[in-house]
Amino acid sequence: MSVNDDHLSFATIRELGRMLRSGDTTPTRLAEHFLGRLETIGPELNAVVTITRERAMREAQLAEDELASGYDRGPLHGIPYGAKDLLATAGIPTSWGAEPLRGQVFSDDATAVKKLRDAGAVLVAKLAMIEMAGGMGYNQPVASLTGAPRNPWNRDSWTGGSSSGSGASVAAGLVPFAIGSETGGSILSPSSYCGLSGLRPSYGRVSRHGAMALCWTLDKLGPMCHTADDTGLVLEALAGYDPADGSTLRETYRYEPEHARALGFRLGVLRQGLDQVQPEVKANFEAACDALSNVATLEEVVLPDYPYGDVYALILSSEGAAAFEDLIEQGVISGLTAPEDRLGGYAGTTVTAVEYLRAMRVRRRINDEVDALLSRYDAVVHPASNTVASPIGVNFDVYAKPWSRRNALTSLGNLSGFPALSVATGFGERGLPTGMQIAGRVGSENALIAVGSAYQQLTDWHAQHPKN
Amino acid sequence: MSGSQSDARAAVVEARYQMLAARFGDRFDAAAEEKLRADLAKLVEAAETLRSLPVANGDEPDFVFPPVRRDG
Repeated sequence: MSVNDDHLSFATIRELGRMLRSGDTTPTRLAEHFLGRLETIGPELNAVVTITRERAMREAQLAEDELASGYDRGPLHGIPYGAKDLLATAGIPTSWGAEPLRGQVFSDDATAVKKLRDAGAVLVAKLAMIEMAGGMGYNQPVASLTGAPRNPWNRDSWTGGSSSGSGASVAAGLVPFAIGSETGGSILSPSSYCGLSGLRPSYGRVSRHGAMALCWTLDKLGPMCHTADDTGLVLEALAGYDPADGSTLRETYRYEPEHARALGFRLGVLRQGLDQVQPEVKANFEAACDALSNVATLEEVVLPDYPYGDVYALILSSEGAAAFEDLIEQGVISGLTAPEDRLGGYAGTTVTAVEYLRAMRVRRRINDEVDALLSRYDAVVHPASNTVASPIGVNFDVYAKPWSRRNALTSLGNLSGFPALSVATGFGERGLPTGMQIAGRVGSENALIAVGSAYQQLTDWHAQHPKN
Repeated sequence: MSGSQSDARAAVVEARYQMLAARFGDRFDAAAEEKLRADLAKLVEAAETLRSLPVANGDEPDFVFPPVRRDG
């Protein structure tokens, strides 16, 4: 198969698994295929930091030998993937997207990487990201040691971030799936902008051990894939209690699509703020709601009235300043790519302990009220991003000026730690994808994936791919 | 916002900027100073907003301190 075989490049994890088990392909052939695409197309999109060829071929050969001997580790066995470059990988540079940290190397894999290795997945690349996961306050796409990340749907536009390379790589068929992270939108945004299915799990569902910490109480790791179903397969491999990360949930997560409903859902529809999103985003969201009405009852909801942005800002700025205290103190951040990022960490060092604690006290109230709201529904739906991806070279504030940059459900979801799945809903201006988020109570990932899968049975946005 | 509230906020922002200048001042040019003051003002305003929300003594922060007892 050539590296331009679109079916292979854009196949789902399930499809690739069938091909592996039927003998239509092998793990080493798959690895070579995606390595080839990463090497040729990856640099055009500024999507890749490090191609892990040696490790990939070693893992692929092991997977091949194991499958041939009858030892099957499960759905991810032999499947190539990319890891956002804030996940430690033993002996391979982990840059955090930051020029001053280009050569940073850790001696051990992050827990998430270990779990994927144990599931038989094949690491083919460390993927580009916005420096420091966007925590220094970037306001334009040129904010990474790899340059501006280019959207495979329109290369004059960016991908969204901070999981920029993860978004670009899956959308362009360079990897079947990728691991991203989210503190304030960094899985949902690139998933929405690149037309992917991206899952921000419940806080604590996936261990953060070995992943760069931006904000200890907001950070989450999650899968970015072609389909909602694939996110469940990856999440099952990633999830689980880890003594090295005390925030991880003790409950076992099992993805059981065979037990999932395909209809009869009860959905809340959040229309607050729809007057501040791009017209095409709104139109595609309403069309998605119409489609979902075939499998769900829909009821409008209203969020509790709290200053979510202020709570989020105080928590993010102070925890971020603490997490990067040494880098700020030593002036390392002066070497970051985006000029605004070179100063972005300082203000957070002045937040008082009492201010931070007040934010955490208000947060508890918010979480109690939000859980009561979410408990009435299988999921709540809302646009995943308020606009399509902005052009490279234009500040985010400037592009978003007629609308609002901040998505209320995304801010709230990260504050409260509840999960959300972004799925593609169509296209907007400049040929760029739009997305819808399907959010639910803490622990409701299977319900969200069931709703997303039902939607993807009714539509084919997820099956459309950019021409390379 | 009243004039006195505005003055109080400006004073807090100035005090916090001076904290930064005392530690890192040799790193900041005029443009940096302007950006930092704007960043500080946003956080000071956010904190003011949260102070206007009532919280009771029993409203605990959203984390739990886990005392440790290792096995063995």
